[in-house]
Amino acid sequence: MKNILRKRRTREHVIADLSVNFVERQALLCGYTVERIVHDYGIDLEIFVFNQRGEIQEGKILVQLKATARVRIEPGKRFFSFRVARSDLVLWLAQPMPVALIVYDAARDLAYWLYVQNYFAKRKNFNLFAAGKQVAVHIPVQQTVNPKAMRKLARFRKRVLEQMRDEIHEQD
Amino acid sequence: MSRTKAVSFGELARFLSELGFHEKRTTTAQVLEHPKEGMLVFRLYKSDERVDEGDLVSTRKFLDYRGVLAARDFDAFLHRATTPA
Repeated sequence: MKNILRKRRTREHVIADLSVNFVERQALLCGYTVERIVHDYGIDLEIFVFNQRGEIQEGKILVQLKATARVRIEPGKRFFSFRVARSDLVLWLAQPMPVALIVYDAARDLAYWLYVQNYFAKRKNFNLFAAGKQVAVHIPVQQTVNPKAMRKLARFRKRVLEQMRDEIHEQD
Repeated sequence: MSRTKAVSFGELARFLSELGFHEKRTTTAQVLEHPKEGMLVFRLYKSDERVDEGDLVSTRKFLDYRGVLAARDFDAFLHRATTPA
């Protein structure tokens, strides 16, 4: 009989699952739904927005989750630095709908978010093609993931759709 | 949707046009707009490029919730589109 290696559940697996659970809960508290994306590289979750009548709204919020044991935040700092792969950035910046990079801190059981396209649109001198394999982003420590943040991301989604609708109707 | 199916964007766009969506393009996206139900937004794909799993998930969900097409019928389309004749 063929030997099959036993699998072990590591601390990393536990933290990764906790991070998904944490973000899902914040979205569910707003009445939104979350789908886990298993096979796509660079996107872990999609969040769907519903109105108060329970009707699905257009568009979605894309989420890349990074789970860590503890986020290092220097005392007095308003931001922390986090490195992302350039290959991920290429995918995120090609997305028309908002991509939220969410960093989960398992020790504190909280998470921080960054609206990726908006962040890089404001970095005027950033050149994706000249960037190294890793790019540092600075995530504001006050941008914690909670229902208020979810609703804010939903408004970004709505704004993107409005801009798109304007562009389409200018073509008509 | 139990597993990802390899459907090209061209196939998906044709299928959606049969459901009443009109294909449009902006500088950052391909949009399929339904006169009553609103927009499905995709990144810029080539016609023969495989659609990302996330876009299939969101299309299926939107069509189902808006009452345009039941989820099982979307799955049947994916099955037909990916099954050799």
